Amino acid sequence: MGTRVGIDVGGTFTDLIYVTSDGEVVLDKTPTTPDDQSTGVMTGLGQLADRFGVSLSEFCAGLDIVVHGTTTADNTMIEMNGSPTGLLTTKGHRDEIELRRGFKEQIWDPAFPPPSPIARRRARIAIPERLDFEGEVVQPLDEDAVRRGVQRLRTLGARSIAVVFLFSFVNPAHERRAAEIIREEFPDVENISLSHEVMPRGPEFERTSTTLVNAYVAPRIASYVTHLQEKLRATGFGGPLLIMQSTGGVMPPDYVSRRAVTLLASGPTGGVMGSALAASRAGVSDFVTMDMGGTSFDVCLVRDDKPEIKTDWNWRYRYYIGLPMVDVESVGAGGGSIARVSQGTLLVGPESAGSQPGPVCYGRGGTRPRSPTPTRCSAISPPKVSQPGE
Amino acid sequence: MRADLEALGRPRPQLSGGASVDPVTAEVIRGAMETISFEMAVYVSRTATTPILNQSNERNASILDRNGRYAAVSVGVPQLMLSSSLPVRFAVEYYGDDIHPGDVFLANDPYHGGGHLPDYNVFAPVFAEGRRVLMASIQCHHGDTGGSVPGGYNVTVKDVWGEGLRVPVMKVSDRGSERRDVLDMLAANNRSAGYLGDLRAQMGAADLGAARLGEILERFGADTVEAAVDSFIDSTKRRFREEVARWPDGTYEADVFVDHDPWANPDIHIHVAATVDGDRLKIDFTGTDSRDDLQAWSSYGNTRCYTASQIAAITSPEIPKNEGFFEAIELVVPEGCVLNPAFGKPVSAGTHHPGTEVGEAVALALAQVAPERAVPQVYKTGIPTIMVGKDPRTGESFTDHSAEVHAGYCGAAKGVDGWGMQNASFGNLWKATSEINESIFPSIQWERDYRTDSGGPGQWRGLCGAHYVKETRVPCKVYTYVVGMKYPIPGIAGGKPGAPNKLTIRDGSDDPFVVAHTADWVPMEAGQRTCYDYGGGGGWGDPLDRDPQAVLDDVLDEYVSVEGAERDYGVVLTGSLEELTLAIDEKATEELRERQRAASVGEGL
Repeated sequence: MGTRVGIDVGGTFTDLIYVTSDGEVVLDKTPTTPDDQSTGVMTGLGQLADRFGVSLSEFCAGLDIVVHGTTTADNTMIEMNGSPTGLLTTKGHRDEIELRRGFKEQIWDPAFPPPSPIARRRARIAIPERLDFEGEVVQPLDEDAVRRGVQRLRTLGARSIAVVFLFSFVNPAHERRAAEIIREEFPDVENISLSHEVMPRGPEFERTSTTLVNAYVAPRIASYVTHLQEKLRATGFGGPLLIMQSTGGVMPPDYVSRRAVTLLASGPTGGVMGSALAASRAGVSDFVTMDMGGTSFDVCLVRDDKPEIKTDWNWRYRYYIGLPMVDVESVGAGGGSIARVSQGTLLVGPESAGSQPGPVCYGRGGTRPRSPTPTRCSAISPPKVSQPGE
Repeated sequence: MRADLEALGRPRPQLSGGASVDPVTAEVIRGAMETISFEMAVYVSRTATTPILNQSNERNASILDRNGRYAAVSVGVPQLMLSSSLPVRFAVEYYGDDIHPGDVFLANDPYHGGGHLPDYNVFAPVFAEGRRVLMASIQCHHGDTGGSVPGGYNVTVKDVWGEGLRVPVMKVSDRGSERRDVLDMLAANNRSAGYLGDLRAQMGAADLGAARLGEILERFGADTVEAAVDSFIDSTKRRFREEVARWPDGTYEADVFVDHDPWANPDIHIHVAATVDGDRLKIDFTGTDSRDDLQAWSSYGNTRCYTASQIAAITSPEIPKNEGFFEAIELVVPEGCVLNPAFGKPVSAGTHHPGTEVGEAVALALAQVAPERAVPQVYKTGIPTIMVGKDPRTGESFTDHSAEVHAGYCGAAKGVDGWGMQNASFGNLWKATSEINESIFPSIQWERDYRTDSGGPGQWRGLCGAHYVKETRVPCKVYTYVVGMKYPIPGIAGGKPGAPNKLTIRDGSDDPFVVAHTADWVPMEAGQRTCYDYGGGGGWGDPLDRDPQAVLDDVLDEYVSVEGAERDYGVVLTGSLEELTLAIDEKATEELRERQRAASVGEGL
């Protein structure tokens, strides 16, 4: 077994784990650099090199493999600052992403707002074409409509295009032909996400949502990963760079743009997979992993050494991701979550104190208690609950 | 055998004799109950055999206490979910001491507390320390109920017996053993091949809920759980009353209408008076239509839950949903009116109309005191459009309930345009898509996009309805009932109504059938199409107060046309939508809005 480095870029810290050829494990960490995460990664690698008294180039040249978990996809969805994205879709089915099969997260609240749009209605272009459930052509692809649609999306400023035609997972011919036309009409498009490649199955809402998220996050991730790979190559690293996926597996950088969506929860998934490996070596097969950050608390159930893999109902940032994901449940109750009393009920999170000024127990001017503190400080008193007979 | 429904609806005693529980433990128990409800509902989705349950999620779980009070509800459709308490109460009174661990009960009869026959209530008791403490309840809409018409909706039959098999209450499992004789009798009275699979999914969910609740009781003890249930019901009642106390005292009335019943009797009238008196709220439907020859009857249980679910939507969404709402609302529904029918009236379509008009009327009345969230959480469809034929792929006959994605009737609230597909109170339904239903049924869905200009104009715009075109690939027959053509969904606080419905069967052929009230097995040939323009949601607030930039965005997104922007919002645009060069003519907009404001003075007086 050669030497390996695992790198997890979190919201606050970039964590590194170095495994030497004889199995020794060295841990290190450095602050995350949000503007360009690769800066922090290279700083961390430099720190590791220093520990062994070698130069960064010598250290990297000696590495056999680098595995990387990144929050880039999650940050893109949190900030909704992905690539301007358009959608080409079967005529008559332009609104699937808004209809959401009728689902709303809050069933009791008529004023609950919609999710932030990835492609507004004007950027969702209806294309005359239709296949039936067996993939037979009921209506041929209107190629001129595809050309006009691509030009309209360019005018609107789109940089990335998702293509979702009904039953394309049975017969991808129309989506493939549309991709050819997009490349002719828009040679410098940043990403083309074809639904039958991103999620080769029905139904269309799930596939549309997954494909749109892919198109939206792919350019930023692809450029980050390419950039990181170049930096690593420049140091003399010759081995493979592998990116952690939410399925629990890894993928090479040139696969990222086609399946960028699987990088959501890349970091927490790496933590679960590592925990499962470590616990298994320690002879523990059934356990719960817990990862407490500043704003969230991530939990995963592991049974028989295997983390739970969830194959449906994976919602992330109010979009449906129709691909298998390690079932990391995230609650908005991390170390910095604010505790409060609302109409007599004690609630924790999801609002977080952050690190400046932080919760009251930091003593830096914060006034509100964070999650573990109510039991220790008297910032709140237990609410009165009416009893029968009162 | 008959039940006194109003007596069943009256408040039930608390559980504990004054035991106390700390608020954190109570909250943990409440959270566990909501999680158990969720697990029961998911269990049905994963094990049921027909699409209405395993795809569309038309199932609701709730936890009740031994007296039939809601302790917790979780996912589901509120106005259905909240109709499961009266059947449980009837069962508790009917069986008395003859309720044992391992029993599972079934009830669906609207004259014993149910909503309508397709909604099966299945529930199991939970015992601890020698006494019955809780009841785990799961409710599912079944695709058939027996009777003379497939699909569970016989909208023209003259009485409830013609609608299908009535079950006041019976045991489907007795002390852990499935009653084979009972299940076989039920199955013999049902057309659906998947019926028993669905029923067993429901029974399994009730067993699962009972087992999980048993674990909670074991962990915390019966005394603590009972005190917790009392405390959170009490807390909800208190929080609800705090909101009511902020509303000005007075009586607020509303009148709404259903276009017609399936026999074309016109203008079915719902009248409500909501009286706020300090922290007390009375909802009184006296004055509602009671013509005996009508064919539109909402069962008492259905009326009661539509009232509570609409009021829950108007008050803070943070208030936990439980019996506290029912205990805090005084409900008056005169017997014999369409919202509390005389014994034996048919009610299958009444859960829809005049059922949804209950919510609409309550929303319009309370919009006078709490307009921000007084959005009718309803729809105006009639009944689902049912297509029946023989599928050449299987040689079997099919019943397509058209339970597919189509937008409609979703109103705006203050600060939020109508969005998605339907109102929040249907948020748990998970509608089938083209790729699902075209694999099951021999049809093609050509269109179901939003229909431009169909959303009710307002400062916040109602959601557009769908333009829905479906082609049958085999000969079939269509059965339906359509309303919302004369009386569409209203706007709130000066908002305008959504566009009306229009359904055309055999659209585009030389023999189109425009549905005036019902379609009684209208035949279609292979290749013919139905076109359903679904109604829009109502607007909120004066459309002349809508931000012109939001109107421009709506035009770019084709929710609103250039003409609609001028006509409905007083916003004048220059440039071309096609060329993406639209811009607001601010001066012309200001002038037009001024003229429109002047013209509307006195409107409605």
